[in-house]
Amino acid sequence: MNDDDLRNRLAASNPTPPSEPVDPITSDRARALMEDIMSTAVKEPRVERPRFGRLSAVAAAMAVVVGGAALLGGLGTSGDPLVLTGPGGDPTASCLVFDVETLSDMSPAFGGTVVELTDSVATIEVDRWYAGGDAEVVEIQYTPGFEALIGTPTLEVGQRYLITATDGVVNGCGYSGLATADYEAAFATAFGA
Amino acid sequence: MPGERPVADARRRRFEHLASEVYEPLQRYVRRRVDPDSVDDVVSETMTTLWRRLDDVPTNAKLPWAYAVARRHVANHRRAGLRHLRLVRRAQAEPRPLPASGTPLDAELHTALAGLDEQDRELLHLWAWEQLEPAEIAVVLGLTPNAVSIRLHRAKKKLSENLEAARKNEMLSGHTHHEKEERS
Repeated sequence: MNDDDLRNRLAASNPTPPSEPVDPITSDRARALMEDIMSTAVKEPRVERPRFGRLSAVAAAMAVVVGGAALLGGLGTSGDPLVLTGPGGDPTASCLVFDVETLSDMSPAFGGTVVELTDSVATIEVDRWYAGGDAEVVEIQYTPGFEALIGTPTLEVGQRYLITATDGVVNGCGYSGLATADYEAAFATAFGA
Repeated sequence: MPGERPVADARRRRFEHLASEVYEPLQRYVRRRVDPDSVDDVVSETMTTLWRRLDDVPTNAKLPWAYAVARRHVANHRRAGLRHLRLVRRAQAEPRPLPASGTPLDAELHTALAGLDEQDRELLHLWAWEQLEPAEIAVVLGLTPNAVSIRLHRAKKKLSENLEAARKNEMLSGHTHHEKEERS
């Protein structure tokens, strides 16, 4: 079977072929939806800002390994874990002031629950990707003091967190932490999700 | 403020133009991947993200980029559902059932696809259902075109092999069935 035959056979199994009618963009329903969407506020255009040098204060604390099976493949479509590591840094350096626009530049960003905890690795089952990946599992390799950097007294199995990283290093300074309702709302605003 | 109105109008026009290109194919993309009750939500969330990130949409790959956004929302919907039902692990191990539709079931193909992993199935579906080329699939999946070409080639080869195996099995079971009937 050549490529064309294979593609045609697969296309014939398409549950929603191009001939199947969908809501046209000219419909009243589509117009109402677009108007509703366009009435929502949009962030100001982004301006160049320094990279998160001072955020890398938390860099020494951990490296992130993103991997595991992906539901749809994709970033991390390979079954092998994608290993992200970051530079070290001075943990006493000051933080950038938290703001949603800065948050929106961060990638990867995800929410998930700690399902396993060892002395140096927290395994997080991801339930929501905001940016930069779609792996099911993220492994965080951490060193003592990490909890303080993400503003939580302890890491706990069953606890849900929202995490961002830059250059493979988890961001602290308010850019990662426990998934409270307010924090979740900030992530939703930042990533338009 | 002077100048704000024309900027806002220009942004609306750009979004309307984008919507006219992607709204309909996006609905088909989403229908193929989520339950019927979630389609409107996922399409709406995807269009909202496109509005917010209008400045990031590449002019030479609007539809693949829109699929990439939709893909994230589809995944989030599935995760939310799976989390709620506490079936994550079981769902990962099972091939997704074919969506209900009027499309006749190609049982041999379904069996052959079920023998592939989810990543390969998605590559093949983007290639055949969305009719995307490797460079466009690369935009959807956040991979390089070269990586997509290699993986797609392997996925096609695996599918062809599985189809051949399914065909032989079918023939064998047909033959056995025929022999049993003759004996009885």
